[in-house]
Amino acid sequence: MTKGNAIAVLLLGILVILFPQLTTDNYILTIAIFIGINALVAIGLTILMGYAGQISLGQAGFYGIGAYISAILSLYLGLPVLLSMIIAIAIASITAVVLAIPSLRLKGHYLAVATLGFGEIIHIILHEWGPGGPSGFGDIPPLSIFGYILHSTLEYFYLIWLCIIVIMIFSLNLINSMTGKALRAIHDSEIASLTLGINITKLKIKVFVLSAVYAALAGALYAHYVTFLSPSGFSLFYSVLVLMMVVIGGISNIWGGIAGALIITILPEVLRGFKEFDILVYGMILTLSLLFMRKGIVPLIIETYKRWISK
Amino acid sequence: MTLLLQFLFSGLTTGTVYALVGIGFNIVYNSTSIINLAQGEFVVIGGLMMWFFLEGMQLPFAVSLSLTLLTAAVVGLLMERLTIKPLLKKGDLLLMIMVTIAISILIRGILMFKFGKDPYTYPPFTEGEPINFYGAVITQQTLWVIGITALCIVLLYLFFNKTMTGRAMRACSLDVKAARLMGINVSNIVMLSFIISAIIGAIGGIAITPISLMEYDKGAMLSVKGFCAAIMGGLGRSRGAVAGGFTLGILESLTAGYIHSGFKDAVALLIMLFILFVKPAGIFGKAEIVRLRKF
Amino acid sequence: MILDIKNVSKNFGGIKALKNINFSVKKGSIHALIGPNGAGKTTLMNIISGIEKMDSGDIYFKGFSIKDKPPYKRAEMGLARTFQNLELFGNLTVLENVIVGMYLKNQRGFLSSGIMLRGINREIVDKSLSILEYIKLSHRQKEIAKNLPVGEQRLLEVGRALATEPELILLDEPAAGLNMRETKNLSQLIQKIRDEKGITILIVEHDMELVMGISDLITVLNFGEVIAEGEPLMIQKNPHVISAYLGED
Repeated sequence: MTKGNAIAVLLLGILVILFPQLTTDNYILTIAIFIGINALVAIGLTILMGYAGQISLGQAGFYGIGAYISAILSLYLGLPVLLSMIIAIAIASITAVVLAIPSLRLKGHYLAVATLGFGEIIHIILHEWGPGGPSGFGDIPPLSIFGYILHSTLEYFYLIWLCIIVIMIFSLNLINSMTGKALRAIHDSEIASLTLGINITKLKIKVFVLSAVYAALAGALYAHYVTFLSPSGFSLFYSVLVLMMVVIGGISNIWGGIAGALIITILPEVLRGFKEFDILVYGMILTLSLLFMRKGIVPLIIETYKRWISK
Repeated sequence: MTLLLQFLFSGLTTGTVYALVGIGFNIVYNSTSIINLAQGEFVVIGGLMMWFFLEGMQLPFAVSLSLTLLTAAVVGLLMERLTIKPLLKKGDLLLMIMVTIAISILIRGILMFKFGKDPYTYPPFTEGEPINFYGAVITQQTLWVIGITALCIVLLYLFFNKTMTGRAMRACSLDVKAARLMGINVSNIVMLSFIISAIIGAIGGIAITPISLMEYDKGAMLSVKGFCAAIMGGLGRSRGAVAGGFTLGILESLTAGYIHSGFKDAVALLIMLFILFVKPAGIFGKAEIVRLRKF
Repeated sequence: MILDIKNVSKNFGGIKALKNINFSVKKGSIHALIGPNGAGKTTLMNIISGIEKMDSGDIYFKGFSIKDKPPYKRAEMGLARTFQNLELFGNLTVLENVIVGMYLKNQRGFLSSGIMLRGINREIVDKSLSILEYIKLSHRQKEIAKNLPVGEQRLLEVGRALATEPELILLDEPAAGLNMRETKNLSQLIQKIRDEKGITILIVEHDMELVMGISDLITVLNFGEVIAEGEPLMIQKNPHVISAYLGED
């Protein structure tokens, strides 16, 4: 990890610890939890898009697998929640490997549509075969860690943001490691990477799986926090929302995933009372940022900061 | 037997819309190598705007039809000039994918704002008794849908083969550089391809709405199914898209009828994944090298 | 012999780019592959490194057939190369380009990469720096690779190949676009790499002075066929070679 990123992680940690001192409003804490859950999915997609140059419109599928499998295992089979989550994440990553092997031979548009197809198939499966069908199911056990059951919103807030910090440290290390350098190298020249002994396909599959693991973890956390699931939250629209978070936050910097999740999660809350507007606003924000702010917010802030410093 | 016939006809009807969306995909793909994921939205624009002019404003049928097609054409034009044109030069495929997604959401957002979440419909083009065909009931609108689609295909064939502009578009799809050297204005061709594909999508929407209703969020699934039809026939080949669209429509209708209606949408997705993973040149298509166009 | 080319043929849409090529590269030698434009030299380089597939024939590296091995496996076995039309990692720094070259010997799984506290350890950086010193590019280490002049980009490609710790390096026209002084430095560097590191070199090059000056053995290709092979002095006198270059019969 570079020094700048280490400081940023530290600041994030301090903010997470202090945040509940600033507000005890459950509503705000709840939104912060959802920001965290979405950020997990978005960080994964940022690495996939920004560092491996691959697109996925199927993140909702992995998110859904994580949520449903963890919920079903703990609710109907009575497995401990932590174990259910681990199994759910494992199943999501196996699915990702199976999907990645044929998909990553595909380029650009084809990959986009193939992942979209996967996500929609998962959505249909949840819709038809998931407990409760389209109306979903509840009574999912809350998270418990070695016997300690999490009850309050505050506990979930700490847990989920602790997950983000751990994931950020892991991801930043990864990007700064030999593997991360190799990923950036592939971006510049696939041929040269190959002749230097880099197994491009294997690396791309690994990044794809990593993004699936993050999404499944987010899904599992969501399931045990909300304790109610229905298929509607796991449709194509969620995949597109995640894509939006990545684009708006900044594809080339994984902090962009958090920034994008923040904006996209808060947006509907800001627009409350204008329910019929929200899709329109999403569409406008995405279109405008693709046209005029292609790098995304985080890289933009960093550039502005650097220019300001050098003056 | 009667039931099977009934399923075949209803499959054929929805299949025509998939075929039209698939043709739209092909026209844009041939001129730009872009998969326009907003393609399905034009079907929704067709259905909802037709309702707006016909029922909302009580305009005569012919006027409503013209205004609806005009609206679709303008939306296609704006989409190309305002978003595709400025970004195409960057040559960034990820960006192009995302921008067509952005436009589809934008269109959906506008439609929801204007029309809300309710489904809309209007009366069939002609009133009259349904036709009885060996026990299967075929409404007159079904015949309209199939007839209009057939007419579209014939007109497109004539356009691409007999007119100068159509030939210029085909030249562009074969070799952009050569076309440019021949004095063809490639930028205009790209714009035209978006307008034509928008109109074709809208025609599908106008024709199908009296049968299957139309609502603001149908576009995404229509895009996926139209794309499926297009790659079934081999991307870029319009006759292939027609065959693909019909096949898909019939398979869907049989699945809904004999297996379970909830899995209807899965058919297209599974076929699509199968083709992408196993036979990217399409079921009805010859092996073709996937080209990437440079601007 | 470190590399054996056996009956290698390659067609491009009916045109025979390579016809039954046979030759061997001796371990520890500097072996040159020359020939007029379009003789098939770069195609052969691509086939040896695994970027293109041959139609028939076989290639043995250190006695093992590498015909069916993907490029990265060949690199693992100790085969490295540079590119005629530069394939540097343009957006990475000069130092990072060399560091990526060391990926092969220092790759880690995702888990250990993510848990590691320091990304790339001191040892790797020091080794990379010493390679930069070896190719005399230390002063450029922090620059973005694509901003370097061509001569230095070619050097960096050599450095990056060295970082994989290869046994054989394929140099594809390393002197193209270099001035006289740079070419002279390059020729010294190539000899140094062979003499000090014991790395075998197969070089494709148009600069005859360079080729004649450093090569132990020269293989001449014309229209996809080997027309001569021998030591530099012999090649210079070979009538087939002279006519191939002068375009006479």
